[in-house]
Amino acid sequence: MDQLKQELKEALIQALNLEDITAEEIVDEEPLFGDGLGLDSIDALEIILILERNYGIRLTKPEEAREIFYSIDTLADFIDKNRKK
Amino acid sequence: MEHPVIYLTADAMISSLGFSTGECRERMFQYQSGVQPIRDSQFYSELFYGAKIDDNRLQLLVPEHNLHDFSRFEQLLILSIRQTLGQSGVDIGQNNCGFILASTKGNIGRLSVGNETGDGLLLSHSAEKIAAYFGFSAKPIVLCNACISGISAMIVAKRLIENGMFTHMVVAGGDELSDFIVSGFHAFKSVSTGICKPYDAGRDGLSLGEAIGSVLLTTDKKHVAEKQPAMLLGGAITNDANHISGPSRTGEELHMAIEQALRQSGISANDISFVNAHGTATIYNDEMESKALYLSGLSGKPLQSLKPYFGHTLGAAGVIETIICKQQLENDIVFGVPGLETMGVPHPLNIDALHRPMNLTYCLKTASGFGGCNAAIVIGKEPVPGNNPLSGSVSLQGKQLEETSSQILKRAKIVSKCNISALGVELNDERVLANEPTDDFPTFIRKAYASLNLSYRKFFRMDDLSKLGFLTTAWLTRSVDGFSGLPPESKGIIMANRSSSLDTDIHYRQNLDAVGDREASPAIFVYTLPNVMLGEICIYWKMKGENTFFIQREFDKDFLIQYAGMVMSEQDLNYCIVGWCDLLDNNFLSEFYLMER
Repeated sequence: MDQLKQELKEALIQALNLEDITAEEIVDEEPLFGDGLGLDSIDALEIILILERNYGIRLTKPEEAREIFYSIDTLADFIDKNRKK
Repeated sequence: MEHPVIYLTADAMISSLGFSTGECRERMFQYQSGVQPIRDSQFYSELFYGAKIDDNRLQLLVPEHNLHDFSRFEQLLILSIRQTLGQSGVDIGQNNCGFILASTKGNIGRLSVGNETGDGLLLSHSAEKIAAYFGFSAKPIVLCNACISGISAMIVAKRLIENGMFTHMVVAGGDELSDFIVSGFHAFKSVSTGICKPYDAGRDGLSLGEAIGSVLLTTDKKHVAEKQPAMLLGGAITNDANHISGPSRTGEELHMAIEQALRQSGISANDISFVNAHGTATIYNDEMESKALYLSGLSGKPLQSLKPYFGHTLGAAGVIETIICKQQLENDIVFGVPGLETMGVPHPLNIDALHRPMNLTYCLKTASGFGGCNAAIVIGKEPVPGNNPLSGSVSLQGKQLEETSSQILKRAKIVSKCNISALGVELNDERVLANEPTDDFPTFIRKAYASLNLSYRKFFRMDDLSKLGFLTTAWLTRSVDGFSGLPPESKGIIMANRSSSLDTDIHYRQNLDAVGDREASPAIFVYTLPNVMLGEICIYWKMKGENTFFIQREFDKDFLIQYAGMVMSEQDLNYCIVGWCDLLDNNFLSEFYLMER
């Protein structure tokens, strides 16, 4: 699980151009959106692509993502349960 | 000096519904939609709903008019403008006749890796070729303002005519369907699964379309054939200063544009006969519009979106929809919005799926787009002589212009200047940061950002054009204490460049080719419009006034400063950032001026 979280953080930094942040600075349980890491709706779409490409998970509606994408913890938990690769 | 009356006269549109305004209108009378299922890998790897212009018909017209040397986009524009000029008999060889082209992506369908540069992709190149074909003597003006481009062009034309620069202006708008556009909107997950359903509870996105439209704006009544011609009475542009792709949460900024357009027209919300809104049928756009219309007191007015007929035609939308508004005013009918079953917006609107015959005098037309831009115009129908219009408050003799443009320029002064080039940053002609000649743009811009001591996480996530514009603005506005805290509606921005967003367009094209259209990056696609840079600046410095992006072959500083002066006076702006911001590959140049009134 820790390895998955690390992998996710690195994927986010790369896909979302979070140049000024290191993986260590992203706190597992803190919100990714809004006040936390400050991600927005375009980033949510990019995360959907990461899920498809890296884990074979297809989310069709961005609305479904709200809870799943809350933090690194929730995201890793969801991937762990639903991954196809 | 008095404002002249500006007539909206001869017009021609080419769309999925036909090759002339009349043909499109007749199909609309019969509730026909140009939006169809398209299964064509040239556009997208899966089936989608879109509205295409009939290529077989176009192919028949190309030899007839000898258009082989033009791109398809240019051919369609020529065919439309030819009809418009034919109807009006205006002499385009005279200096008093201008030409404005509005488009978001022009020839982008021709962009392929290995063929990224060259003149053919530049919007100003298309405009110049078309101007030369017809023999316009005035230099063409090009607008690239996302989905409000067509309305922006109307507003620019109106201001230039009112300030005496032109008597007539041909306003043309166009955009084509391409895999670039279709994949990008799919990346945003905003494409409908059927014909789009604006304002409906079951709406699930927009239907893309392609179209070309042109119309003549003139003050000279001898070129106006209509008995009760339509007039362009007012127009305004605002920015949400909220998000580069998501619309305002409150609708306040579109409401501001509506209020300003009404005020300029000398009428109130109550005088409006019907509203032609943007109505793309994405969840958030339609929601925002219903809030804005509610704030403007217009929820009860008959309203429509024309997207179910033509799809969302991007840079053409403002022009072709204005043409259809004019047709509705002339025919005293409000076209229905096919597909509407259950109202699905927070403040219910007065929409009917069926056409409604009624007496019409004033129409409000609105649009909103990426970069947070909003636009509104008011079109009125000239009363039959001796018969008063609904409201007696509009003066058909024209309103008083408060000051002439030379007076404007005396009152609005340049308070600071900043330019960034390969040599470094210059503020008010003093070098404040030198660049190492060996540094590429990313290295240089990182150093420049660090030297400003800003803390803005979003900065590194912008495209390079936005980074350049953002940093130039950061230096430029240092001379004004608390610039971002000044009233948002008192600040505007007017920019131009040569390459539009071509640098990011190439980046997106590479991404599309590498990962395929189903995994293309929305975070890259969103920056494939140059006015998104204006959106980034408006968000950070809280600017909600005018925002307009021109495309010019070379920086025409005099024109932009003069135009900004007109806008500042008309829109009551205290500050306007004006300038040039161009970037392609590792060549970059910005030159910004801060004007104060």
